[in-house]
Amino acid sequence: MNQFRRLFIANRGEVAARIARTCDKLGIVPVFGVSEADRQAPYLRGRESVVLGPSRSSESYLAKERIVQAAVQTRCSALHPGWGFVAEDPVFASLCDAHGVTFVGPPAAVMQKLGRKTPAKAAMAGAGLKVIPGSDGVLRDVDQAREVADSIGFPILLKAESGGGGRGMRVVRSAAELKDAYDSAQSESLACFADGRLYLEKLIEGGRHIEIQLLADKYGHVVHLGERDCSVQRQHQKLIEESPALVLSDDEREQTLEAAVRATRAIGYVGAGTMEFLLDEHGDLRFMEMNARLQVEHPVSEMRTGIDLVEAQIRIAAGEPLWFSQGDVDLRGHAIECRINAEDPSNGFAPSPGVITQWEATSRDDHVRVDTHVESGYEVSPHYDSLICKVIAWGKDRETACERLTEALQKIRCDGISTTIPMHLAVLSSKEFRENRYDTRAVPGWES
Amino acid sequence: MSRRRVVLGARPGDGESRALLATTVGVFAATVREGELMSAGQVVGTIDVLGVLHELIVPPGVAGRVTERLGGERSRVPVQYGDALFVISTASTESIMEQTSPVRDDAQGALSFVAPMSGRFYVRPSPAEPPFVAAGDTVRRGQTVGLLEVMKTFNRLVYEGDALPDQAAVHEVLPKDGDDVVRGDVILALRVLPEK
Repeated sequence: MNQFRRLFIANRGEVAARIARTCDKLGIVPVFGVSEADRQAPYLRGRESVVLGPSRSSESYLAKERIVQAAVQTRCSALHPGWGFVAEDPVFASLCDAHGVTFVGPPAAVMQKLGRKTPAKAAMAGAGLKVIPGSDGVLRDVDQAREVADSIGFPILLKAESGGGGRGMRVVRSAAELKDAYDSAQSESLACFADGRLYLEKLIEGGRHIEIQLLADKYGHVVHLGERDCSVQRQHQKLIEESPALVLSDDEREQTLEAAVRATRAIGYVGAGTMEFLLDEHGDLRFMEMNARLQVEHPVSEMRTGIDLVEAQIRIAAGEPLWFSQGDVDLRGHAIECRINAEDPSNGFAPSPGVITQWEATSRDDHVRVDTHVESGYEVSPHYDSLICKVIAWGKDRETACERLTEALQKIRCDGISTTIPMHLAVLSSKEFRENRYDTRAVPGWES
Repeated sequence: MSRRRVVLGARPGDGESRALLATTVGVFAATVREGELMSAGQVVGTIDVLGVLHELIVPPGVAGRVTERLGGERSRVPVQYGDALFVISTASTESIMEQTSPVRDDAQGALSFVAPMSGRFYVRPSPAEPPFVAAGDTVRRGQTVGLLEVMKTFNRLVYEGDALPDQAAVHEVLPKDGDDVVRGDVILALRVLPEK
């Protein structure tokens, strides 16, 4: 195997610390590219790091040329982008390749295809996945939008072809609203993505957010690592994720997992990727998009399968064929993850940056995993996102996992800032969550 | 090979020395040796970032003799952002230094509106729109005077505060659009409005 000796970590915080743990296991030296604001971060102690630029992401964690230059000058032969920042940027992946640094992720061309929404949707439909009914590709104009909307029925969702993060997106409930919504979505997507093209889908309100974890090597071998239910969300931000998704029928699960594997192979995907679906009121999973990267909630699948996804990503990038088959993937028990953010849930989830004066979150329970980059004295920076820790618990069933997770959360001590822990405890003990009766519109057991 | 000009960062050092700092990660090559003089506006080296040469310019108001150069006599040195590329002695060149002492106008009736949290300050709602407030405007209690981006969330900065009058005249908006501010930094320098 073409082993990497030094790997550049082009990210920060929790995911940077997570990638380094697997590097240690594989005997690879991690080199961290950091911003000036993070140069004293505890996860860099005893590590090699290089300061890319000032705290502003556009001049550090998003500065493509600086990052690749830093990887080259620190003699790294591979680069892991983590999630967010440059992780799904095909231009960045090409830049790495052009300078002899192996990008740990899918080929740039595949990323490019998945970044444009309608070709991705068409490819998935072609491979046998159900998609959300809507326009056949991008819309010519508002008249065509009206025709399609009339045929599938309101309410509909206008979406940007090159969009993301909810921008260039408009809910349209009647024909009268269509013209204004079309014009404003078009100008917003033009401003945000330099691409004003729109497409249209039937609006599915509520529903559950289900996703499938996939792994593919460079030789066409593809396996899935089961599904995750990520329906506990607030304003499209996931808060709690679990596996399996017990709301799915066995038939629907099996069919969709198989189709997802076929589709992954069909588009020439390589590495770890996640297909996101919406579970509609008929119990059908409808494809939304594929994320060409490691997900924040990947530990849920790791806890069930015992497979280290970061290790798999690195070995696949090094050219190794997948060393196990679908039959070897043993999906055991139930796993749940809570994302702990530096936010005040009782005050509208207001950001709560500042110094963590006291931090204690170790777990002696083998079935509980705590992923974090913080410690006592750590300053949660106002410059970046608010994730400070993830707690993941495994149990033979959902009930056991819930109880272990609750116990672990209760033991966490975090002084100096507000966190989302009180909200997690309320959700985990709520009737709606325990009985699995909720959807993406509201956080079960939490009024906000 | 393409070129770009960048002004070096500067930081006061011990006594009469000053450090000139790298503005990016990259491979540094100096064109000035130890013992030589440099002054504002001069190109004193390059940093190579993937083949783009960033020409390093001495910042305004800085001049002196090079006492240290990063990497000594080595011709190409990998550096990171913020590394001191040169240390210069300003002892004999005091007279050409630009005197920049921003005098705070402590006139009677001066008030300030400060940042309630640390974050990134924006003076306008979006790039195409006019600023929320500008010097000469009058601000009233409850009025939005800027945006503060904290952890990717945009918060409205609302003019309020027990120690502030219901209305005041804006003398100056201190941070520039996109500047990082810390809690307690002055956002608006204000003047009490004359009584009618």
